[in-house]
Amino acid sequence: MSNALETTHLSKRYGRHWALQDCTLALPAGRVAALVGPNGAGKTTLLHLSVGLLEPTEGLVQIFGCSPLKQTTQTLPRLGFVAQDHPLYKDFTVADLLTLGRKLNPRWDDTLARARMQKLGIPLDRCAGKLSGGQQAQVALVLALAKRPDLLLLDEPLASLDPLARREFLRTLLDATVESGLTVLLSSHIIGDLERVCDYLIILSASYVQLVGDIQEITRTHKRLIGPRQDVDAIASTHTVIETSHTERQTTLLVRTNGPLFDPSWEVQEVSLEDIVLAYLGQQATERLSSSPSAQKRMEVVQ
Amino acid sequence: MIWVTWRQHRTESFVVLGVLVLSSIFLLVTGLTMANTFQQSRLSNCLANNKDTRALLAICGPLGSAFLNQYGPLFPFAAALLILPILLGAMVGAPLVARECEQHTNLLVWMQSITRTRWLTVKVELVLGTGLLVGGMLLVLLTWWYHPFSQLNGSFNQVAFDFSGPVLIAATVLALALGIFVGTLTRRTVLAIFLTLALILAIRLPVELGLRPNYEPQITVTWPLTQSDSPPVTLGRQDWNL
Repeated sequence: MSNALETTHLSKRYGRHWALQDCTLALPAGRVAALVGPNGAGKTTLLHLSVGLLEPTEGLVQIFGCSPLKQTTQTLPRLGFVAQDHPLYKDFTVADLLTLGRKLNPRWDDTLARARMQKLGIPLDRCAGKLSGGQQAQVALVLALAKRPDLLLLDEPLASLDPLARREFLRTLLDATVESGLTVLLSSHIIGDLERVCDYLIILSASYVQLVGDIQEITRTHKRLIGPRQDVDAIASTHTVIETSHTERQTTLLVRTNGPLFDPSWEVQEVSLEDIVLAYLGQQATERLSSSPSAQKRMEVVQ
Repeated sequence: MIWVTWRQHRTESFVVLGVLVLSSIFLLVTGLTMANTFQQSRLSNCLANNKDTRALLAICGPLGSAFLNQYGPLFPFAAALLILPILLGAMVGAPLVARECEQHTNLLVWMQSITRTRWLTVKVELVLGTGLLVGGMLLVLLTWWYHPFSQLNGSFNQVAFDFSGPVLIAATVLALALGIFVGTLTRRTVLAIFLTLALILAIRLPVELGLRPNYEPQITVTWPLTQSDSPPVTLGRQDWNL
C-alpha cells in the first residue's frame, strides 16, 4: 500500500519557537485520518507543510512520493485543501467561485460541483459573503472536492460550525470518500464528531506527534486497568502506561498493551477513543510540567 | 487566472473606466474650444511669426494674457487628473496581495492547480499593463489639451512636466509597483494603502519641488562635423560633450 502523505523528521521553527518537531508519520492512501491536538499543538503547521504552503526548517515531506514544495505542478492538482475558517472570495457569487475552480484546475468536475450545490440548496447567484457559516464551509469543501483530489486536507473544518452544520458537512465529506478512493486528513481539537468518519488517528501535542495509527487497532490495544493501589513498575515493564491515577485504595491506569495481560489483580475495561486521546494529551501536559526533554521526545506508533 | 484577476478587479476597472470617460469628455470639450480660441485670436499666428523675444512680448503678450485669463482657471481641473496614478497605486496596487493575505484567500487560490509564481505573474502583469494603458491614455489627452498652454508657458513648468514625455506613464507604474510591494510586505490592506500614499509622496515631492526647477531645457544644435567635434554652443551650467 502506498502512502498519500509521508513525513520524515519534519520540523518547523518560527524564530526561537518550534511549531513542529521531529514529526515522522505516514498516512496510507485511502484512509480518512483525524489529526487531533489542542490549540497551538502544530496542526495547522503540519497541514501547511504537507501542502507546500510552508517550507520545513528540517526534515522531509512527500505527497504521493513528490515534494509539495518543489514539484508543485505534480502535487497541486492532486491536493485538495480547505484552510481554517474556510476562506472564500466574499464578493464572488457561488457561480463565480465554480468558474474560478474550472479555470484553475485541469481535473475540475463541474457537474459534480453543480450537483452538490443543488443538493445542498445553495443558490449559485448568491454572494459567498452572504451565505451562512455552514454554507460557506460547504462551498469551500465542494470547491476542494470538485478539483478531484487524491488527498484532501481540512484544517479545523468543524470549529466554526453548529452541530447541525457539522453533521451536514461530515455527510458531504463521507459521501465523497465513499464515491472515490479519496484520502482525507482533517484536523480538529476534539475527536467526538470525527469518530464516525475517521479510521486513522494522529495525535499531536506541544509540537510533537504522540500517536499514529489505525483507530480500531488503537481502541483494541488501549485498556483501562483498575486494581488495588499498587506500584505501576511491574506493568510498565511490559506495557506502556499512558495515564496513572491513584486514590487511597485503588489505582487506575490507561495502558497501551503490548501483548496479553496476565496479572489477575487488574480489572480490564474498554476505553473510548475520546478517553484515549485525552489521556495522551494529558500525558503531554504533565510531562511538560516536569519539563523533561527526553520524555517529550517519545512517539508511539501503532500499526 | 486572467479571468480571476478580471473578476477580482471588475469594480475598480469600471470606476477607472468611468473616470477616464468623464475626464476625456471634459478634456475634449474644453480642449477643442481652447484650440479654437487659440487659432481665432491670432495668437498662434503671432507666436509663429515673431521669433524675436522682445517682439513676442510686445505684440503677443496682451493676446497671451487674455488667453490665460480665459482658460487658466481650467488648468487645476486637468492637473487634478495627475492624482489618478497615485490613487491607482494606493487603491489597486496596495491591496493586490495584502487583501488576499488578510482575508486568507491566498490559501484558497494557492491550493488550486496553478503555481504561486503564475498567480502573482498574471495579477501583476495585468494590473501593471492596465496602469500603463490608463497612464498612456491620460498622457495623450493631456498633452494634446495642454498644447496651447505649452506654447505660452513652455512644457517645463512644474505641473505640466508630468505630461511631457512619458512621465505620467512612469508615475503610474511606479505607484502601482510600490503599492504591490508595500502590500506584500505589510499584508495589511489599510496600512498598505496609507504607507503607499506616504511613500509615493516621499518620492515625488522632493523630485517635483527639489529637482524639477533645476532641470535644464533641451537644446537642439546643428553644426557641420567638418568644422569641429564639439557643438559650437555653451550648454547651461556645465559644458557637455556629446
